[in-house]
Amino acid sequence: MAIIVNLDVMMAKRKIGLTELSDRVGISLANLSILKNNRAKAVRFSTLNAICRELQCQPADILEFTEDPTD
Amino acid sequence: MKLVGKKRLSGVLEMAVWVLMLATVIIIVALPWIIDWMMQFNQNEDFWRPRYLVTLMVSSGFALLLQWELRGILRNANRGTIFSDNTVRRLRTMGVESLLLAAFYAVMLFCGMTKFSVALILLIFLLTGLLLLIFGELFLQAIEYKQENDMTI
Repeated sequence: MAIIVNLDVMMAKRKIGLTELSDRVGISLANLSILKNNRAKAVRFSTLNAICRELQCQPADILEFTEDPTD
Repeated sequence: MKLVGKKRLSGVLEMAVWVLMLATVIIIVALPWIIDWMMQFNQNEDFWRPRYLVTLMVSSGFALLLQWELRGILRNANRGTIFSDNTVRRLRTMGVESLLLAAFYAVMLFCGMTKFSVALILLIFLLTGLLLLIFGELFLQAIEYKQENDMTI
């Protein structure tokens, strides 16, 4: 997968922990952890909307495309 | 109306299959005596007795195996893990067992058990076996879709 999720970087910038972010966006800690660790297969727009709203950022701040040699 | 869960219909059905398995074991053990009782209504005992005994013994054995797998599938359903590799494996096993039973009935058809009921049971288990194999494949696809959905945040 060539899409990198930089959620942890944004969370560090905003000084917010995973548990607090999980409570604010309404997503379970387990699912947020899956997203943070790049194990998610897809992200809903509603999820992206909630995260960007709470972290006061743009989707591009969280999602990054890199060339994957396996693709 | 919720049908799946330990305290729902599927839970009751799982217990019912356990009872059925117990009944099947009792029938297998008691078969020789049951056949003896049946033979008093049959004139050609030497011809029919071994055929009835073999047919019913093998059928009961396969019935027990099928019930075991069905019990496992119902247990998966009650635990909320119906879409799992375990269920797919059990469906495939049931399919193969059904086909083997159909093959056995085909052999018995040529060994003197030329009754309409034998041919009918053969056909039923042949179709059931093939359908179960197809259901196994469908469940495999369903697992893929579920995993995709579970990993969508």
